[in-house]
Amino acid sequence: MNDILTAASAVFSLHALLMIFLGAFAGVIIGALPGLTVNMGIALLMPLTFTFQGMTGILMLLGVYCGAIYGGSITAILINTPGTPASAATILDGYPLALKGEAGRALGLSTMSSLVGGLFSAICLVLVSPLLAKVAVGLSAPEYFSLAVFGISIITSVSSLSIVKGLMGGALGLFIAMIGLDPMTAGFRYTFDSVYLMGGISFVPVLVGLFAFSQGMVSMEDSYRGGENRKVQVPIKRILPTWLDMKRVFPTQMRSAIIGTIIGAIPGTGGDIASYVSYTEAKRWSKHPEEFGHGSVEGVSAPEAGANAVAGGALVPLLTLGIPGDGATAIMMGAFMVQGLSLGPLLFTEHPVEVNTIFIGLFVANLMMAAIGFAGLRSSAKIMDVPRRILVPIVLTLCAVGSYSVNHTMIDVFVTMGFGVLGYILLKLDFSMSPIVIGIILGPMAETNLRRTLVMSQGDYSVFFTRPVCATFLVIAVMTLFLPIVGPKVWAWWKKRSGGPALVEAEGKE
Amino acid sequence: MRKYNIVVAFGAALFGTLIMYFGRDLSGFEDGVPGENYWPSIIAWLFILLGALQLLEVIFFKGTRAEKKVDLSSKPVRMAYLSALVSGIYGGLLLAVGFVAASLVFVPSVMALMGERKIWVAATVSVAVVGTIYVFFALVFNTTLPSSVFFE
Repeated sequence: MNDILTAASAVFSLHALLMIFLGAFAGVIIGALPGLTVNMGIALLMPLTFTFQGMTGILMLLGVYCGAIYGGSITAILINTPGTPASAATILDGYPLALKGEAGRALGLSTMSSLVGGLFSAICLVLVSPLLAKVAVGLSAPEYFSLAVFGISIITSVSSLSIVKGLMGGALGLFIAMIGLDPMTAGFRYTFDSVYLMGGISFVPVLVGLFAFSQGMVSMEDSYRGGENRKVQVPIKRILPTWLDMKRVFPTQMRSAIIGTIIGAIPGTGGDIASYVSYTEAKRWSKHPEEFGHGSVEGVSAPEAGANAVAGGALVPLLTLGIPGDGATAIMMGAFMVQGLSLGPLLFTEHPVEVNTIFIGLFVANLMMAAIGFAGLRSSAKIMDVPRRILVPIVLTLCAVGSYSVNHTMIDVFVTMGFGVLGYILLKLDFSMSPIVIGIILGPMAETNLRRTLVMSQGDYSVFFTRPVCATFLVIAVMTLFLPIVGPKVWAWWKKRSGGPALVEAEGKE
Repeated sequence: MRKYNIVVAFGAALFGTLIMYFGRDLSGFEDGVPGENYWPSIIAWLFILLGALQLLEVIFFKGTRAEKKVDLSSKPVRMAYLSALVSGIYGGLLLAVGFVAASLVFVPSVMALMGERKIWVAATVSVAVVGTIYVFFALVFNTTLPSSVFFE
C-alpha cells in the first residue's frame, strides 16, 4: 500500500502531470500527422526524457504512446488517411460518417472508444502482470535465453514485407548490439581501435536515425512526388457522444477492448491487427451489419477501442518478461534501460514503486489523451494543414538535437544521420526497422544468458530441452517464427476446403 | 526488385564472412566455455544462412514482390539524399557555430529545398522552430544543446 501511495504521489505531482500532458499532446499531434508514426514520435522524444528525474520521462513516453495511437484516428476520419497503421480500420466507417456531415460524432465516438479501450487494458495490466511476474520470478539463465529467443522470433510477425529481410534486420540489430565490450570477458569486439566504438554504438542515435531521420527523408521524397495532405473541410458540430450512441456502442467497445488487450499481450502483434479483428468481430455481432462501411457508429468505435487497448496489453510481456511486443514497446524498453530499470519479473520485487507508477501513469495518460482529444476536436482539422516543408526541417533538427543530448557528442549526431540514410535505403528494399531495434534490445540478453547457461552446463546444449519452461518457450519461438510463413498457406487451404473456391476468390478480390 | 534481392543475398553473405574475418583473433569455444567469438560466429553464420535463403527465394519464388520497382535514383530520391547531405553539413555547422546559428541556416535551407520560396515564411518558421526547441530543450528540460567548438 505504501508503494502505491508513493507511486501515486509521484504521478500526481505537478511536474509529472505536466509531462504526461505534454507527452499525450505531442503524441496526438504526431499520430494525427500522416507521415509521422508512433515509433518515430517515441524515438524523437525519448532523448528528451533522459534529463528527467525518476520516472517522469517514462510517464511522458506513456503519454506519447497513448496519444499517438489515438491521434491516428483524426486523419482517418477527416481526410480518409490513417495517421498510424492502427487507424486504418477506422477509415472504413469513420470517413463515410464524416462525409454524411457527422465528423464530430465520429471523432467523439473514436475518442470515447479510445478511452474505454485504454482504461480497460490498463486495468488488465494491473491485474495480470503481477501474477505473471510471480510465475516468472523463478526463471534462470536458460529460461531467460529462451525468452530472448522468443522475443527475437516475433521479428517474422513485425516484418510485413519480407520475412527473410526481417530476419536479416534482426541479425543486423544483434550485430550492432555486440560491438564494444564483451559482456562476460570485458574484451573488445569489433571496435577497430575506435574509442567511440569501445563503449558500443549508442542505442538512441541508432533508433532516432532508423525511425525518425529515415522518415524525414521519406517525407522529403514524398513532397517531391506531390504527396502533400489533402485538405478537407468538414463541419464539426457535436463533440461528446450522445447517451444513445454510447448505449449502442458500449458492448462493442468492451468486446474490442478485450480483443485489443489480448492481441496486445501477444508479442509480434499490434494495433493494426487488433483494430481489424475488433472491426470484423463488431460487424459479426452487430444487429445492423448492413451499416458497416457506410458510417456505422459501431464500425468507428470497434477499431479505436481495440487499437488503444493494445497499449496496456503490450506492457504485460514488456514489464513481466522483458519482451517487447512491437517496435514502439521495443523503443520504450530502451528508455527503461537508459533509466537503469531492467525489465522482467524482478522489476516487480525490486522496483515496486516504479511498477505502480507505470500502472497509475497509464491510467492518467489515457485520461489526458481523452481530455486533449475532446478539447481539441474542433481545431484538430487544422493540425493536418501543417505542410511537409515545415515538418521535415523540424524532424531533422530534432533528430540532431535529440541524438546529441544523450551523450553530448557530435559523433552521435553523425551516427544518427548514417543510420538514417541506411534506414531509408533499407526501407526502399522492403526491410522493416522494428526487427533491427528488437535485435539491438534483446541481443545482449540472449548472448549473456546463452553463454552463462553453457558455462553452467559445461557446454551441454541439452539443458535447453530438458527444462520444461525453457523448452516450452523455444517451441513457442519456433512456432512464432514459422507461423507467419506457414499460416497464410494453411489458412488459404482451410478456406478452400471449408468454403470452396468462391470464398477464396472473394477474399482475393478484397 | 529481383536484381536488388540478389544484391541483398550476396551482401548478407559477404557481411557474415566479414564478421568471421574480423573476429578471427577472438577466443572461440574452449573447454566448454564459450569465448568472445562464440556469439559473433553465430551471427555471422546467421547472415550467411539468410543470404542463402534470400537467394533461394529469388530463384524458386520468382513472383515474390519481384514486380516491385526499386527507386534509388529518381529526382525525388536524389532530393532525399540531398537532404541527408545538407543534414551532414548541418552537423558540421553545429560543431563550428553551435545550435542556434547552425539551425537558423539549416531550417530555411531544407524549406527552400522543399520548394518554399517566400523568404518571410522561411525566416518566421526558422526563428519559431529554433526558438521553441531552444526554450524547451535548454531552458525547460535543461538539456545541453550543441555549442561551437570555438566557444568551449
